[in-house]
Amino acid sequence: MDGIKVLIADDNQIDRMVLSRIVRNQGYEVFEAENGQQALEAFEQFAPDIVLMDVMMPVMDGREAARKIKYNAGEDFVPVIFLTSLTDAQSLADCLESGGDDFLSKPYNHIILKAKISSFYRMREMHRTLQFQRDTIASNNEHLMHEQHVAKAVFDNVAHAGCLSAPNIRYMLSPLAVFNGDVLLAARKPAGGMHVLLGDFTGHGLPAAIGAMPLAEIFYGMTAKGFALAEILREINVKLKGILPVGFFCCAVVVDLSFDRKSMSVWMGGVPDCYLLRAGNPVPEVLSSGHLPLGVLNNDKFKDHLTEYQMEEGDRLFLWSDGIQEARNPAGEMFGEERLREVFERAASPDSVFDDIQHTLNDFLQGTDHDDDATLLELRMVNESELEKADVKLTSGPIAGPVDWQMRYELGPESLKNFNPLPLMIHIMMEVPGLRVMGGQLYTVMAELFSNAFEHGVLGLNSSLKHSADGFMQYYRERSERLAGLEDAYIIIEMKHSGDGHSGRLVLTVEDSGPGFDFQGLRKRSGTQANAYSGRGLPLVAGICESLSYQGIGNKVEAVLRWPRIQDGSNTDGTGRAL
Amino acid sequence: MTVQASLAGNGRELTIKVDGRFDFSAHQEFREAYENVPGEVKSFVVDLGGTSYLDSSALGMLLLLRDFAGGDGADVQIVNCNADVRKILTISNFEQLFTIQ
Amino acid sequence: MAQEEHFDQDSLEMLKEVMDDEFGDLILVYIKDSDDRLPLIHDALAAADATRLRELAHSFKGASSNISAAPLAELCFRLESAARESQLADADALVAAIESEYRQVAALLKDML
Repeated sequence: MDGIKVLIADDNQIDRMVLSRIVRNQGYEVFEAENGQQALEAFEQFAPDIVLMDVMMPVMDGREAARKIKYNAGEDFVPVIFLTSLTDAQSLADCLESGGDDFLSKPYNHIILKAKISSFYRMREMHRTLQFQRDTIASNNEHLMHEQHVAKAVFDNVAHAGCLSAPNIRYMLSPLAVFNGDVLLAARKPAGGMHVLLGDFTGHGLPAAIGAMPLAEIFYGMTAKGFALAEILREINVKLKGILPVGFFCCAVVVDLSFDRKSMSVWMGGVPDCYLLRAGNPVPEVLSSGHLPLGVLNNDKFKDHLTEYQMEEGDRLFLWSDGIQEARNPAGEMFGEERLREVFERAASPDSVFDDIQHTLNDFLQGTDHDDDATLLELRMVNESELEKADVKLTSGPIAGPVDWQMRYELGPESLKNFNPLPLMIHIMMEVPGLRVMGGQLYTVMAELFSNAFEHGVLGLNSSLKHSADGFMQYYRERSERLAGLEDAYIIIEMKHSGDGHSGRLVLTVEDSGPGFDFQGLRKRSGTQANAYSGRGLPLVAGICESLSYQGIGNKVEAVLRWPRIQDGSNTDGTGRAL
Repeated sequence: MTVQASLAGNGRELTIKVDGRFDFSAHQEFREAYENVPGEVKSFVVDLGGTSYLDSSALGMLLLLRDFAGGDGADVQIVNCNADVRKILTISNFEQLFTIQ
Repeated sequence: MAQEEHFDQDSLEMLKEVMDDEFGDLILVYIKDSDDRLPLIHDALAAADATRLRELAHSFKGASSNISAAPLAELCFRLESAARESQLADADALVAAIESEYRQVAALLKDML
């Protein structure tokens, strides 16, 4: 109780002396005032914790002084206890009415006095704690809201990004709260085609947002480096499993769109059915989830199998997070699958389905907010040429980054069996800003030359087998047999880059341990350079490169690429298929 | 929403019954239902007979229970699901992780 | 002159204990205050100023009660009540009784020093 300050205001000196003494004896610090005016001044000067005040005093009476003290104290709670010899109930009530918190009758009972002072002091402390906590909460909340807004800006950049503006994509994201747990990502693949991911993290807010960061990073990073979707899924799964606490996971549908082959491969984990609407058939095909959500299983149990669907131009895939079907109207009913199906049945044309879903949902909700994240996505099969070219602008000044470098990378038989070097090689080339613009072409060149070296050179497979269905089977049977028995084989990849920051030249050679082939004979037979090596599917590569030449016994190929490259509108996409 | 836990089979089987909406508000109670059980529980039964709705945080809670019960070696059964609840469990492919009746 | 007729003995003992070394100061202040106050009471009575009389009686009552002079406090209370009602008919007699009681209280207090 040390340091509790008590102000005693009483015009009667005897009363004041006795009361002061009692209060001081109880261990409190005492300040005295002879009237209301002095009490007010003493209050400002000493900031007492408790005021004991006579009602009737000259100059300014106790009630007025109490009102002013309370006013000056503001939000701070300063208990005022009236000292009174008044005994009638009305007078006591008046005291409390005028801002007093309690009264104490003369003559003073020491025990009651002590009890009142300490209980009011506790009340004051409690009030102070409460206010402190309230202020802390208010300021924390303000801080949190600010952080969430900043974080949302980052989240939106990361989670709803990529090539979502592509002409074959339509999407709707609900603006629920500050964050929702929905993630929508789309990225063009370097060799053509597109990866799309629609994810729904458990929960909202920061837990949902945090998982989205590595997910988006892996998705974009690995897609840009040419990884297959199954590998990307596996990486995302192991990452989420590692960082998210048990019970947090990401339901997702992931689509690999191939425009040149007109097919899509789909992986669905823990998401509602998706609808594949084919041109000319009003009844959609239903695609169902076959996997657990991402981040649940360890990678040894994780299944990355994608289901492939052939598509025609104009076929559409509709995807949504569970927030669409679980959206509730004011009566508490869920939108549900039936209503969604009816939209498809009633749609005037495939073109209108997306808008119809939005309108039907809005009508159903009658203005209530969605109570979950609701994300809707439409993917349309198109020709790659409909998508705008990835626009990477070359700055006018010299470009920073590596310009004069070379490397040699040799793979032995075990590496060839178990490792795909393409992403690493692409990654190294992409460090040169001028080459980054040619990502798709570089991937094509690298992939073609490597697979020729590997399949024909090292494994000695004959590509003519692939001309018939039976041959195709045989080709792949032989491929896995030879791969299993591989010994003493190698592939050497060499790169040499030179340039000045404004332009550059990359010489890429791929050499294999195979017997080579009669490239000169091949060239003679086919005549023109563009059609040379057609048996090895190389016209595309030749079109991209400044020069392409086989050397030695035909087991070494050299490709020269130059940047900046004059875009001639042809052969800029990976439209040719290897082999 | 209520969560009730009861022991059977000499304290070796714990049944957790969730009534009403099984969502994030059940988080604390659901955890407490199995975390502070005395003795050695060998198998767990989650009775969703009275559950009207299940959201993704409930799925998370089920995963937590599975983890608590031993992860891949866990004996956790989910019983008495109504059609809606069953559908959500199916979409999430939870039959790969739980015995669902 | 018996102390117990003029004081509440228990509360006087407690007061001595509470005030300890300040008890003497308290008595001196009380006597000085009261000596100053009595002529004012007479003036107010002469002027038939009921309000002033009530205030003075109120203060005197409080001070007397505080030093445990219960009968004196009671007389002051009666004067205060009469003044509040503006019933000054018996006021002369009450003031005389107060003065007489005070003299005895003051004498007893001085003995305690």
